[in-house]
Amino acid sequence: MSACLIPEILFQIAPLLDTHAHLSCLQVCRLWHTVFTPYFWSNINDYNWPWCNLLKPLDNSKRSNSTPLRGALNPKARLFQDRLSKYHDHVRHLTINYDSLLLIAFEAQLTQLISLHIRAHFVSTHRYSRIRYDSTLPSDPTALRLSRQVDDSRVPESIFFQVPEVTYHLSIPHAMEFTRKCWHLILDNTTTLQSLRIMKNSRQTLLRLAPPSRARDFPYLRADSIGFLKGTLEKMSRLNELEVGSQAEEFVLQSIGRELEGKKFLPLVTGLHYSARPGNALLTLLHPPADLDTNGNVNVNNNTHSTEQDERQISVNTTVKVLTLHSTVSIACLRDLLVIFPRLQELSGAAHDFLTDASHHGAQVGEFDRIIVSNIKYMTGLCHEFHLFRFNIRLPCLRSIGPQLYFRNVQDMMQVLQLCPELEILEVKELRGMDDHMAVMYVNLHTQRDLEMSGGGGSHIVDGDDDNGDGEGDVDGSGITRRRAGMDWRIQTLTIQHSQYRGHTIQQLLRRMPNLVHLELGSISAKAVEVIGETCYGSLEDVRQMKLYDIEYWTN
Amino acid sequence: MSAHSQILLTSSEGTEFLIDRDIADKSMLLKCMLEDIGEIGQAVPLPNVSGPILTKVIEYCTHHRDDPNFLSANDDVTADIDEWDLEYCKVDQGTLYELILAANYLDIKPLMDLTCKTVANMIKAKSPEEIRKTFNITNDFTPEEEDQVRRENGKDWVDEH
Repeated sequence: MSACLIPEILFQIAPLLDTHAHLSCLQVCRLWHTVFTPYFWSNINDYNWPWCNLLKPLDNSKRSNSTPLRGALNPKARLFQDRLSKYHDHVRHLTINYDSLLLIAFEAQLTQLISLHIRAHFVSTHRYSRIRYDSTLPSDPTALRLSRQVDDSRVPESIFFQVPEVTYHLSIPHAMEFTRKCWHLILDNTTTLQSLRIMKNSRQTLLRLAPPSRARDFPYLRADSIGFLKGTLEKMSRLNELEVGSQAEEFVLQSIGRELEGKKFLPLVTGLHYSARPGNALLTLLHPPADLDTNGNVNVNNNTHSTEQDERQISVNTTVKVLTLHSTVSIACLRDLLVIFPRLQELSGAAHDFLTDASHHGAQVGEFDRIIVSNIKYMTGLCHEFHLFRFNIRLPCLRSIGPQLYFRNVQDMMQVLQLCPELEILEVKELRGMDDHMAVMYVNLHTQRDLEMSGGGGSHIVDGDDDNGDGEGDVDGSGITRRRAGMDWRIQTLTIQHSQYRGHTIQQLLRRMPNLVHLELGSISAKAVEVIGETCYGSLEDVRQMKLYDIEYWTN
Repeated sequence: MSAHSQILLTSSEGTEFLIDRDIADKSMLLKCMLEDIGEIGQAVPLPNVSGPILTKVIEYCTHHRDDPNFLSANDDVTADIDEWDLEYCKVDQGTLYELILAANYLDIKPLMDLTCKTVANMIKAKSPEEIRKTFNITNDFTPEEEDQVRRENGKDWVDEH
């Protein structure tokens, strides 16, 4: 044993390992046990955490109609509780997926949490609906022991989910207790939390859902709920990522970055999640009822806010850099969001609707003013058929798009490449379009146009011009164009999983991508591979990783 | 301070190494020192680094001499190690640990990342017993302790159910 891993080295290595490796490491020897235990306990999340099996609810409802006494709680959760109470100081990241984890976490009085993600649906109509939580537990040694009392005064009644009891077998008092415990967990950690996400189903439980028609401003929440939420969020001085779900997000959207009683609300939040449920907050934000008709379109230019006239009405937020959308939004809604958050750098989310909600603006599709957002560098999702461009949204500094991108045809793809000159990563799911011949013509035409635009003049490509139609003859022409400044795209990673075009079109595009490092083309015929290999080796010389495969999409 | 000037380093045994300034600049320690006090005209002693290790470190810095992404490239912890680096790390464990310490001391982040990642890869997907074997570690738990550790963390009941 000439040299051994001293703690200094172990501390450097530990962050590079995952939870399962930490578990193995802490069983190696005394020193390693000391070093790795905090790492193992620092991050308790659902599926990767080796012990989540202990917490999984027992699904007894299938077996009989009788309600088990311990309810859905796995008796083994007790073992977990013992461990957690021993190591609770180390826990920094917690994802709550099961009821039992909430109970245990609440009981352990965690106070150092940096991120808290709540995913559980504490009132379930489906799987565990027959299971009742019984607080009068028999003296079973494996059962959870809970002693910490919920302090009723800290969370207002109005924040709770209330529905007719008929729908839920779980009794309302129990649901309320769960909700309360959740909020207590949040309140215990207000000073350390940097990321709070109330995700998916838990939203419905944690914030009260009221009929939308009642109030005007925040239809989903009562005034004291808003007050509570505001007070809680204001205490979180380090918060930088926030997801509150459908009911409260309208409020957050309206208040974020604004002065509330002399203090800026959520000044550090850079990542915001928006579930985009129907609500009128967005609408009232952008289009105050008084001049809804006169103020249809807003212009956001490079880093500046909107025009002076608009600034009085629109709350423009400049802190949020990352926006994640969790459900389908209409183009109109997306445009509104881009107006509200002009400093966005990253935008990700689900697909957006094909049809814009025209009534939203009272405007027709063609009437959209151009929105230029020059800060956005990364975009995931949201780009089905790349509608943004057709609705006059321009993202000139985009560096990466993908991976679920569909193009109707090569025209769309060319357009994206031309409008986003900084693009480095393009991941296309499917490139549609049947007519290879037309596509080649289109690409040639535009290549020529770009050449003229870039000041190269038309004279050099005359020979390419003649053979525009057949693609083969264009080799020489493009050979020249490739070297021209302004002609080369910056694409480094190109993935096209399905392409309906044959080799010639792709080959034309590849010639203008001399910076390619990673290339993946799916469903491409052997013939096409041959064509690409023959004609593009010049522009592919830097490619380090190439994957061309042929799923016989098109026979022949 | 031209870019072509040279720096003299002395390893722990007193061996002297003459290296180009731009290679020395890969080490944040040397860079800051040279920026602070300028050309000193005498050897810089590195009492914590032995001759063979310093040779190895200089080999790394020389290979990555013109790497424009030297400081930013390895931000992604999961990224694959490139071929030359992989070959470079094929040394005995003692040397590897000394390299980590030297990289830490000289503050060369990419080398630090590379060597740590190499060790991490040796640990991944191994059982405690396999880790002990790989790193030649003696199990110093008492039987009772080991029993407790196993009961608390053992895979046997983690995976059951």
